[in-house]
Amino acid sequence: MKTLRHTSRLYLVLGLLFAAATAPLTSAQAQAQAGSSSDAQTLLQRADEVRNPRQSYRVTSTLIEYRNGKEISRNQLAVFTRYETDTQQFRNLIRFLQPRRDNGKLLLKDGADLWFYDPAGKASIRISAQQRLLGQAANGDVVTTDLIRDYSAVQTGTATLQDAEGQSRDTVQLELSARHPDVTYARMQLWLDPINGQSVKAALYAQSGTLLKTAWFRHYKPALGQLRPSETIIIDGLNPQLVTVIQSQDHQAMDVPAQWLQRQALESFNGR
Amino acid sequence: MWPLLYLSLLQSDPLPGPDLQAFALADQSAAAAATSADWQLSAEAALTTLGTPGAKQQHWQTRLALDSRYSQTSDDGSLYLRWNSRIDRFGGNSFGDNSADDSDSTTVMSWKELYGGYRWNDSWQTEFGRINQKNGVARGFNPTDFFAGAAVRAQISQQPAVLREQRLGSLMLRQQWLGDAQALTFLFSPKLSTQADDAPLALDWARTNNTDRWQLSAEQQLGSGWTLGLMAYQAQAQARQYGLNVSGALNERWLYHLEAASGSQSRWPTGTDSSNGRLASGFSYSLALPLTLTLEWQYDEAGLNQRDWLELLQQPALWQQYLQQRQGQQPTRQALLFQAQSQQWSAGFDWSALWLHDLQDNSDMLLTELTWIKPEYDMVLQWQWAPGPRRSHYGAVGSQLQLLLRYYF
Repeated sequence: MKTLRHTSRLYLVLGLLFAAATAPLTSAQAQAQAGSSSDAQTLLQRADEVRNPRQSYRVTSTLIEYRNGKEISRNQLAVFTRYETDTQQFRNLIRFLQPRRDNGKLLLKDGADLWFYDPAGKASIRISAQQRLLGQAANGDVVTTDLIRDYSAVQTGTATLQDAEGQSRDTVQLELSARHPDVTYARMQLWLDPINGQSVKAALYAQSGTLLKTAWFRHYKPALGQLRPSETIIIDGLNPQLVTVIQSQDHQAMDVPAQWLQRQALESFNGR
Repeated sequence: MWPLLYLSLLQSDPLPGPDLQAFALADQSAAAAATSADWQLSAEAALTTLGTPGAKQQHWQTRLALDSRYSQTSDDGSLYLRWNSRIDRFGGNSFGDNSADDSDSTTVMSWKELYGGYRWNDSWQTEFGRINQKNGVARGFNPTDFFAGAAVRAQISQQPAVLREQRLGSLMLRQQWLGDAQALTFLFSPKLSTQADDAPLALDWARTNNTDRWQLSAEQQLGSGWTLGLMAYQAQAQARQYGLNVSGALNERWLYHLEAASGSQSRWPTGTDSSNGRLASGFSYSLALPLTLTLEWQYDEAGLNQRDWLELLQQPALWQQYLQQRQGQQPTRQALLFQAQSQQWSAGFDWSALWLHDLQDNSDMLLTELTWIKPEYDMVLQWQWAPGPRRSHYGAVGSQLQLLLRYYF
């Protein structure tokens, strides 16, 4: 008992000494971290604004999936996005256009509300964010979301990177940590061009630290007021032979009524 | 572009090989122009081997089907028209000795939907015609799906989802109001006929409109991924029924659903009305594989309990009469549903399995399906296995193996 008490006291003293010695350093690090984090948040917000227009719109997305160099599936979707100015959130309704077997099917994503509607059975089925509908692409890869809502960012360095078009880009590297567990990826690394806010590359990780996907953003083209990526290339982290190419085209500003974005409205949805 | 890429590699870290291969694939990917078809046509050819419970012979059956859907909307989006119908041609049964009986061949047309709608503004819309009104968030047993009844003309599968696709809509006038996060729907469905019509091309109104009915329902998004729905349903000369639907996302992977209904219903064998409740509740979990698992408990107070059900099974004539009366409803009080679904389970393949277990007589039915998906067609292998005794809930269904080719035009 005495030995135990003695040992405890020793740990206490060592602990206090360690704390006293490191306190100023920790405080300085925290200040540096806070400054860095604030800059990183600004950069992340800028990157979100470049990827996602701050308005309601419609875009056509084509998902092409490859395995071992061969195309194995191709889906074409009309994505209707409503931007809520007051909450700065995106609400999405996706209509499947191709292949023909899927024509008219709908996917509604409104926050944590995810519904899949099949006109054949007229049934809307709630699905989870992790349920796969589009092959290797997670539902979260297709819909419009802002990273800044779900992740806190820290700048971890700079890097000169070859982008997916063969150009050398001076990038800032951000480390993103999920603010809550309800996100598709627990951790991300994002490389972006600090001059124009263009995302160049992202590495997406599971909670375990396993690399799940690598995403490359390229072919920045004018869309709804500024240059935005028209192509995202997603490479599976576990099997790099699985590649998904997401092409975005025909951005159109349009009013997407809030009334469309609920389960009961899916049956009579007429958007194309 | 590629020479530029290799030059730039000299100045910075080289890209990994898989990334370069992915860029090369993306360079070849040409996006087709956006297309949205008004028509959806598909043709099916199926070959089925049926094992009748208690019989030693295997039967073979062929089936051809044509399924059509059409959706047209005016330029301003205010007027729209919907059509959904299908015709099935069931070939005669051929038996083990290769004889075939053509007299068993039947053609069944299912006029599932034809209705028009007018959207007054973003919130109000009115629809009229034959509409398939589907209620409920549960996966197998839907206590609030008051319009299910006996609306299936051509039963091609025991899968709840297929039965929902196959059923006829009811003629109705439906008025809907949509708010930002809530909806209110009222519908009236009139009595048209009580005479069953088995003619191949018949509209068969007796299946869907044999009495005057109305339904009022309200749904509210509760935020954070939860939805609450309440409804009242009334059929002429029957007690009013009330329904509740709750569903939500517990997190990224877990979902919960609860569907319940309450109201007086006729009880076997007396036929007297007494209050009873029906309930289906379950969880779904999505794994990374990708695989989604669902477990659902089903309870119907009007269904027979274990003692009464086992007694009834000993009286075949009464048993058949009871099943006729409970058409479209659970014959026994409690059952379990377990479902596993995997999209892109393997490259180009979807797989699903549905296991149903009756908790009163312990009979089982397993429905499993492997789909080979090509851009224009599907090849589907379906296996239905019901090992229970012939006179049991699921054993009566029998086993079958089906190969199906579905082509999309």
